[in-house]
Amino acid sequence: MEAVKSGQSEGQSLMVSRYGGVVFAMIARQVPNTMDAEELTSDTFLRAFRSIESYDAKRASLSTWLCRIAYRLTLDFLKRRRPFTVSIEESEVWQTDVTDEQLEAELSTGNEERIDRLQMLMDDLPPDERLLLTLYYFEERQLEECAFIMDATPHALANRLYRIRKKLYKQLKQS
Amino acid sequence: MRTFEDTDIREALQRKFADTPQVPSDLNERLLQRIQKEEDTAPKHRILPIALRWIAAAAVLVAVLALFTWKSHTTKIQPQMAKQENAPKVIEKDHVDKSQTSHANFANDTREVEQLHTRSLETLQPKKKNRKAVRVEEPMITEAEPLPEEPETEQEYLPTEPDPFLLAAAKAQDIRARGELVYQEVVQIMNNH
Repeated sequence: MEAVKSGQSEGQSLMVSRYGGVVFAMIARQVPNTMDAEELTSDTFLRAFRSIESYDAKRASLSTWLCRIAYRLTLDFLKRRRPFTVSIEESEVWQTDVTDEQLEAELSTGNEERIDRLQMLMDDLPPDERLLLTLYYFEERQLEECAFIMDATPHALANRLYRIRKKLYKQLKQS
Repeated sequence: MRTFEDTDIREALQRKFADTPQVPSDLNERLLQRIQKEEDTAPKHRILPIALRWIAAAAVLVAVLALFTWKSHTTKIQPQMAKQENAPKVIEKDHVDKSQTSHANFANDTREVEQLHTRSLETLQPKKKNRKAVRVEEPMITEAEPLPEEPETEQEYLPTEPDPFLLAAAKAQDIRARGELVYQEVVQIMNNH
């Protein structure tokens, strides 16, 4: 860390070799084009080197901090490419109340058809929602960690997660 | 905070990311090369904007200072200018007020008529010039020296017959008309003589 802070190339190369793969993998899950993913990864490290002074080891690990930067850059990139708009039908989904238990039961059936359908539905989600699902379900990060990466409170993120699950459940039901 | 199992979502994500591009083996080298390249070019790009920012800030500061000094200068001058502008107006206003008084007031104000009369006799200048002087330049009227043979005070001036100038002035509605009448009377008298 000291070497990175003083701008030494040894420290920077060590950081890249240690965390480059993690950051690249996270970005590549959202940005399928390898060239774009590589560029975003290098941008992430460049930004990290420039703002290394703002890193606080007490708040999060270096890996999580890098993922936070990567998350912002990826989200900006995806929004530039495909601006997301909420349709009226989608907003109507929230009108019916479904409990967490009901949702969990509906989204844990093991039904192949449902899993395939979910896979397709997730492609249509807005980038930030897709990223949240990836961080929480695929990378199996704690909600607090996800909240740090996404710059939100764990409570707000739990609400958001509930809404995404409910939306997926409704769309599954409709189909 | 409780954890949601949602195994269907987990399974769907596993399948979705199964064909995600793997981390290239030479990723670190390429990343480092790119970062090095970016860092070499970045300062060159940044120097100019920083210099421009300083120049812009200095220009704004100079402009603000100039505006401030100009404003303070004008606020100092304005009261003096206002004084200068107001002075003649007061005289003119007084003059207008006088012109609007009744016939009795005109009769009482003999000194003014005398002065007007003496000035008319003294100068006998073209009509326009006289009118202008009477109407606007009040100080000139007051400064006009009375003729030596004319009485200066009210007690000394004791008219034995009706003063034609006073009658003419009494007929006039305002100072301009009065001046004109007086002038005409004077010219007539002079012609007769």
